[in-house]
Amino acid sequence: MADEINGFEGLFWDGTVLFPDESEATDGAESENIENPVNVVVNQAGIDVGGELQSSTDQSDNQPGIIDKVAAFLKGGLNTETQTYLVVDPFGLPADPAPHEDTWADPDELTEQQKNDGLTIGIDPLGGTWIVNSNDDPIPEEIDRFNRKLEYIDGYARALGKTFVYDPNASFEQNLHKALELGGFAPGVGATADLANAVVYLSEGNYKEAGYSAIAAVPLAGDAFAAGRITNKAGKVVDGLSKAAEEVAGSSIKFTQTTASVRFSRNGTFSGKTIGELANDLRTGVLKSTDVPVEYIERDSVKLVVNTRSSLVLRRAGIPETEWNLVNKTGDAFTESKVTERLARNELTEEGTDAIRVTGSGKNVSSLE
Amino acid sequence: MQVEKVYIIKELAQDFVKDPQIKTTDNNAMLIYEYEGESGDTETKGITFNDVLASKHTTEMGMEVYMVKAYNAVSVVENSQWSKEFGESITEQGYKHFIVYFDDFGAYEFLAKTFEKPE
Repeated sequence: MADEINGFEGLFWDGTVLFPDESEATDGAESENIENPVNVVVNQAGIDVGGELQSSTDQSDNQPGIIDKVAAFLKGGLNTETQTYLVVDPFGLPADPAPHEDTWADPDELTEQQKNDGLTIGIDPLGGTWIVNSNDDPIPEEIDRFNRKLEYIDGYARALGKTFVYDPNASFEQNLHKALELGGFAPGVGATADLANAVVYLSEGNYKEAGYSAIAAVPLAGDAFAAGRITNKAGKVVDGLSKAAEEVAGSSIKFTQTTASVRFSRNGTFSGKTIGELANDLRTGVLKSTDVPVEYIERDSVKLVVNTRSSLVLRRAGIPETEWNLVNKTGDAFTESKVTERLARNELTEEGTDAIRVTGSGKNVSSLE
Repeated sequence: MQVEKVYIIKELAQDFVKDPQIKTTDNNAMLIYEYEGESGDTETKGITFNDVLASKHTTEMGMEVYMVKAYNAVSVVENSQWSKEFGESITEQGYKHFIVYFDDFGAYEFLAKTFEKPE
């Protein structure tokens, strides 16, 4: 394994299999626990940020489990023998640009036969969905599909030329974030990497960055990835994210409504598009942040957002507020009146709110509280 | 012009899954909207306006300030210029200028005699 990686001079994320067997999977990893002051558990990733990363094996065989792959990556590829970091593909899968594009999609519903068999839809380690048995274990076909999904994420990043280059002068965590950010480029699966990134930031007690990543991970219907369920299942992340949100809330820009539908109306520039689609357009350069203006009015030094979805697009794409195309509509009679009415119907004060739920993918999902 | 809310629409336009539509049948018109219900499923409701003489939709770009007062509510416009276009006598005939403003979708107006709340 190490030789293969060294063959790439230890610099490039080459898609080499991460852990071909259990012994290598744990090599070095046990010696490093991520310390974290926040008591946060992300169930679906199998990762206890407040303590050790959890481990598991797939129920179908004795191969390293999917959770192992993700957790091991998060935990790091430190080779204790050489005291060097292995440079690996975060998901440890063969190189093949954007494979399985049409065959990795998460299930939305069960067939009648599956229902009769007692199967249900569960949450996969990356926050998507998969079909599980009564023990909440994925059925073998779903493990195969999940692996295709991982290959897709990995392949897409490299197809974009977003190859991860390990920086020996940077910390492990910095390299990790960089690698994870690549995953955010894959259409429909951005929330995965964003959420994973948030988890890592939380593990470092970096609430502000975690908040940004978490907001970027706000699940959006319209994504092929059924990411809408992330924050629902990852509800346990809320305690930590609420701190993150407070940091984000350090911004004076506030929402004027408590919910927002995922899709833009037909009347505007982004007619019919979803927040996720536009965020991807921003990430891939199809759109620039200046193409997504955000109108606001200012009351008592608080910037109250008028274009809620546009602001969510920018946050979802990870654009810092300093780079937003903010349009001040303070004093405009129509906008002032609209914001006043909107705040009232949402039972909000003129301080607005930092929390919003994106609707359109089910109740009680997509929350950022 | 005065705008008075006469029925507060429970479902907020910010949760609509697509643009509202106006469907006409005989002399009636129904303003139909789809939204995310408590279960998370998409639900549909409609407000029926009876004996409709005219209807129109104005996008936000063309809206006037007074229309905002009809925010997410069935409202009645008093001293309506629009209704006067149909003759001074239509008020005596029982017609009212109803307006509903759905945030982001615009104003939906009906010159009608009565309306029925969504079921």
